[in-house]
Amino acid sequence: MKVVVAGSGIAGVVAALRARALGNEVVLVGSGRSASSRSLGVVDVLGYVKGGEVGNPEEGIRVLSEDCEEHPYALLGVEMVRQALEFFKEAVAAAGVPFMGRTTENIHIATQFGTVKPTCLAPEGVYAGRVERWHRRAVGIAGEEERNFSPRFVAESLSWLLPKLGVALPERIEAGDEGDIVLRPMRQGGTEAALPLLGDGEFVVKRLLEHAAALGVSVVEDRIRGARIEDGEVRAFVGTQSYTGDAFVLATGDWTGGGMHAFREAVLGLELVERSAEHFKKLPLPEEGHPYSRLGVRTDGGLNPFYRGKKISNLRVAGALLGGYDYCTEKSGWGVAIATGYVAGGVR
Amino acid sequence: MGSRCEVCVVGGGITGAGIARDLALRGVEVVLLEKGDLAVGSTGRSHGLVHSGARYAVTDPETARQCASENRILRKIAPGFIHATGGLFAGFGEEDLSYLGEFLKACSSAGVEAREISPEEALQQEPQLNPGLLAAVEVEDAVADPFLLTVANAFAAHREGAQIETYARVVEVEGDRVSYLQNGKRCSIKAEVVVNASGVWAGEVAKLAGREVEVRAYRGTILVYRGRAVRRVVNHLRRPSQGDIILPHASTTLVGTSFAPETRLEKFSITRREVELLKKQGEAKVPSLKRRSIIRAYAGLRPVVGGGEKRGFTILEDGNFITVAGGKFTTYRLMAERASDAACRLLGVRANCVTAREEIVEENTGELRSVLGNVFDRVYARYGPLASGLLPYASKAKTTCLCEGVTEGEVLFAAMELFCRNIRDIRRRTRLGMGYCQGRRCTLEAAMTLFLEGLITAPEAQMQVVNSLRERWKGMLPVAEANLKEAKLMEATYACAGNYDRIKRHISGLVSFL
Repeated sequence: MKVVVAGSGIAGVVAALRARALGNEVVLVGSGRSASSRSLGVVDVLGYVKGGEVGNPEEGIRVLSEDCEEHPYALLGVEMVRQALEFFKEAVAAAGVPFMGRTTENIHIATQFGTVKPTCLAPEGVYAGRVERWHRRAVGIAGEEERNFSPRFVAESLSWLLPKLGVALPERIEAGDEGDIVLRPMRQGGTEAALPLLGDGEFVVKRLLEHAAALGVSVVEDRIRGARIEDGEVRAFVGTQSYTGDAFVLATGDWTGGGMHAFREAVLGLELVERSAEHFKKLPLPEEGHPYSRLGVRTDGGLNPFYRGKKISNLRVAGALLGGYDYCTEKSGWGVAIATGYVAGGVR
Repeated sequence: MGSRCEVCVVGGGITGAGIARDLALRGVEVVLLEKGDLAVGSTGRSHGLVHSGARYAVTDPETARQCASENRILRKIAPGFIHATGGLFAGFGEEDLSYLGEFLKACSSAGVEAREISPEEALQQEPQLNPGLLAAVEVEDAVADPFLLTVANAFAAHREGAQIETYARVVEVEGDRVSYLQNGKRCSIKAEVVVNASGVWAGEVAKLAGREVEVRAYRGTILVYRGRAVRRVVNHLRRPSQGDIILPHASTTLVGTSFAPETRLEKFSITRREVELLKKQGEAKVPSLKRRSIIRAYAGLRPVVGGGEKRGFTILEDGNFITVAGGKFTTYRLMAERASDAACRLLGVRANCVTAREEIVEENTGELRSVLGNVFDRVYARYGPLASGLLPYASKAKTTCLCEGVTEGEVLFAAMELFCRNIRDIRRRTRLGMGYCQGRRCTLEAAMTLFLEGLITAPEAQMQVVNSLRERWKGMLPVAEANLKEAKLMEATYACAGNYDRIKRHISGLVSFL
């Protein structure tokens, strides 16, 4: 079969890799810049559910599935999420950026904001630098100052914040390259123990795109702006040229990636999950998220979306374009993207 | 603290800062108390239009006359702070045309310069105006940054010996003793005369002194569009109404204003209807606005005394307590002059007002020009003659705010020299975080700069980040439906990557002041 994937973010590239692994002819069309350019390049699977922090993401997914039927994880089920993440780990290892971690256990990582966040899988260096290992040890934050990153700020902010979080209590945290564990930005050569910076996600995605190309995926730079639909099926994605195929994956992201425009899915005008009456909370960064964040495309359990009341059986949707979840507050960004990308690319 | 002064000015808007400068220049000992930051009330929430007077020519000739004369004075005494863009009154329908004759006549009798030009000529000057334009009149409108003009007045007053206290909330006025809260401490000062220049809060401040003053508040909302769609101020040629004015401001276009009575002085909110009304009115006059993103909306309260459509001001004297009530941004200097005259009469000070002829801050930017080279023009356009103070910080040329091109040196200059206590204050001086990304890319960077310079601790920097984002969201919220991308990017950066949605509970409750 010929599979056309729109979107060159993490969801799109995973969908392309899976489709290719199943022996399909695959074309991946993307505009080149996605939300990964601002991501830390770690796989958040599920950090928070129902207001509480998640220790075991698989368990968290079960809890969440009980009453969030529209959530992509609820649609797919734990087993599928685990399979997808295993597939991802194999893919990144083959692409030369191995990830560590287990889907049954969250870790905490330090950020350039001088804060700590829960995540699940991370590049080897980032995993080795996880906060859990800091207990009673001397930690160094090393590296050159750059825009929005200062080792001294990170060190001082963390030494104030960590005692409040109860994750680990290091003996000391200081700027510089001395200590039992020394974190350095991945981009600045931090391999032993690394601190992820905004934009590292782009590096990971780029490696995966190269890997996909080496496996025979045809990677094209173009922006999909429309689609040709006949008899309730997609015949082609349309950008500056037409991309015909048998099966299609739409992984164009949310507003930040261009997949959503205002309250509309940008390419086809696919049906969205139900809108809430109020879109925004009065204060920024609410723990429960702004309601509009859950807006996105509605699908069935196979990730097939609806168009003018009818399901499109040869189109699947993956990643941030999907509705029913809020990756910002759940900390589930790449987890959902990878799981849904994997399923969407499962074309036989 | 038991200090004394001749005059205590309550209120750090443009009027209060203007009074402080006026009195200081007359040799009077002044202390200015402002409950928040300078210009944070109605002044900073105005559109910064220095009216030609034409807008009020028909309905309020006295205000029109005052505007025309003050407009000329401000150009003379504050050339670096006033952008003489010029203005147009543009008429689009039959009704507007029928107003034209009356308008021109009223301008002429109020001493407001107004010159009718052909619609073709107007469209040549402003190509993005609706081509259906039927009539156009050129006037002498100008634009100023209200924050900066206030800071310039405070700066000049301070240099003449005035004491400027921000985040100092007056809690009691008893006889000659003014008590206020600052940094959680109660302080007091003895003043022979108290001048109440607190704008829409004048009634509240008067009450603290056991007096009664009636000032009504009218909410005015303004939309901020990305980019400059017009070069001069565009006014709707009609009897003053809502959504009449479009003007260029820094990297943005402002569309204002709405008009609605408001009873709450603090937590008032912008309605969806106001936003829709302004969009419709703005886009009808300049259709290209439809293609621009709206990055923010803000609202301020106009202080109004007297009835009907009048926008004049009055000086009320009651013993040693003087209140300046009503008025406009454009006429602030005249209000300050009259209030200062009254204070001087009470004090027995004979000195005359000099603010109509002395430049607010004299030009002394030669050295900076040679240091900055071709960046100088941008810096001067922003800070005017105040830019000379940037010299010691000029070597820190790294760009902090990418949208507005604000350097690290400017952040430090504002922090150290321009009465700033936090990042929000720095924003009002420098435009840091006022561009289309609304601080997403520079808030952490700016907090880090202040930390690395030793001005605040790391936890204080975190609090600055959270407070700064909260203040930005307040203005993004009313227009967020039209700009979901930026709303989401803000969340993706600070909640998803930074985990601030969870961390912020550990940050609230800290106090941070530069």
